[in-house]
Amino acid sequence: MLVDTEIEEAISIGEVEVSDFSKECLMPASYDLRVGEEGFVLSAGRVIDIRGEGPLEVQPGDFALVMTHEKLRLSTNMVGRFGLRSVYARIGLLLTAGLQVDPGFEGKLVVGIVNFSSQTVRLPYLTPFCTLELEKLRRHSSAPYRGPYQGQEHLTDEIINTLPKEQFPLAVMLIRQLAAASPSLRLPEAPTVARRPPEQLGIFEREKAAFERLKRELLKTHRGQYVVVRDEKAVLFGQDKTELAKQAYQKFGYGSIYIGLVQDKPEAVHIPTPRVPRRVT
Amino acid sequence: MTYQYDHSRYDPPASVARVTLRSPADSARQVTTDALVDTGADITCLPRALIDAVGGEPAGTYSVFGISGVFIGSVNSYFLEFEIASTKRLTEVAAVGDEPIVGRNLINEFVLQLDGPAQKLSITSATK
Repeated sequence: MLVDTEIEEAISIGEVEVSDFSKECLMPASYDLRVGEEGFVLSAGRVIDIRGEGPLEVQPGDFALVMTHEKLRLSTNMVGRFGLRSVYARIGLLLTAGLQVDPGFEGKLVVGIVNFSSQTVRLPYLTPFCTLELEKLRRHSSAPYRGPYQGQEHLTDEIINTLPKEQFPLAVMLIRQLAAASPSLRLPEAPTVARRPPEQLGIFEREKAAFERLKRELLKTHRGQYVVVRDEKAVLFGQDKTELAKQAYQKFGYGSIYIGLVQDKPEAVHIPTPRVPRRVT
Repeated sequence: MTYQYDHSRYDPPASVARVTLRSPADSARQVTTDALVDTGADITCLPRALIDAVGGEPAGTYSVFGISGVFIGSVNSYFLEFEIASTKRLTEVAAVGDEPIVGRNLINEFVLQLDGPAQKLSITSATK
């Protein structure tokens, strides 16, 4: 299992990718994942825009899906496991999820939560609510994850339609008994880690984050083109990345830009050169 | 320009070319090294230490895949000035691995001739 410094190292060499990485979320041997933009509450029956509408509210006995703010990417020799932060476990939330984040997985995690407490639990946007452990495998997986959730970034109908249609009866019954036994139970304030202000990010990180934010709109107008992002704005477009870089450096100087390809998937390159161990002579 | 295959680092010997990389912002910051000429690589790759040595600034990101499509990692890319066969080119490089590799984004700018039995690589500029 990786400790904090190893997690940072794995990120720096690209074995693990965590979007909008925040050092504040780095724990001694895990990384705290934050409440993302979208959630779903069974009793409400719809996807909630947590960033726009406010905290996700999970009533006693209710079930919710929370999509993480962070988009992850694990190399094929890395596996993840995650659990609820103890502050939430202690007040009666139960996390439901699969055993592990498979090697090769890419996307945001969707976490199921059942509220076994007697009070409504509020999960504001960007609250660290679960923590991810990372383990490095001795070998690369021969069959990395290629399943239906690969690349997921939104709560789709496909995910929602697999959910039960009503609250869990056992949970509701237990909660009523708990509420009767502990009427004075009060929930602690949920800790919140604010998004790092843009001025604290490196210039490159800031422009890269801006590209990701702008991409949804750019896909409608500039799909398949390269875009130069500077000062968090799309400033140049073109088909030839190197020519675009020349133009950008001429105009703005070297550095402090991000050049991205406007397409659904991240840009990929292949370096399929195999190596055999060198003969000993 | 002709280069001898490298026997010391590769077995069987491999085609390598002498390249000089520079910062586009400061041509005085330069490093010269031998790089494997790899027609299988989509992009030119450099160890991060070499990029840092010339003061490279990141400009993009790539997901890198290896043999059999195995995901290696997500890395930053940089634009650096490459000099190869007496020709200079602004070239995008990915910061990955521990050996310099000249990939097809640079190779395709040149005429290459491999002479296996003589273990020689000749590179000429395609520009008239």
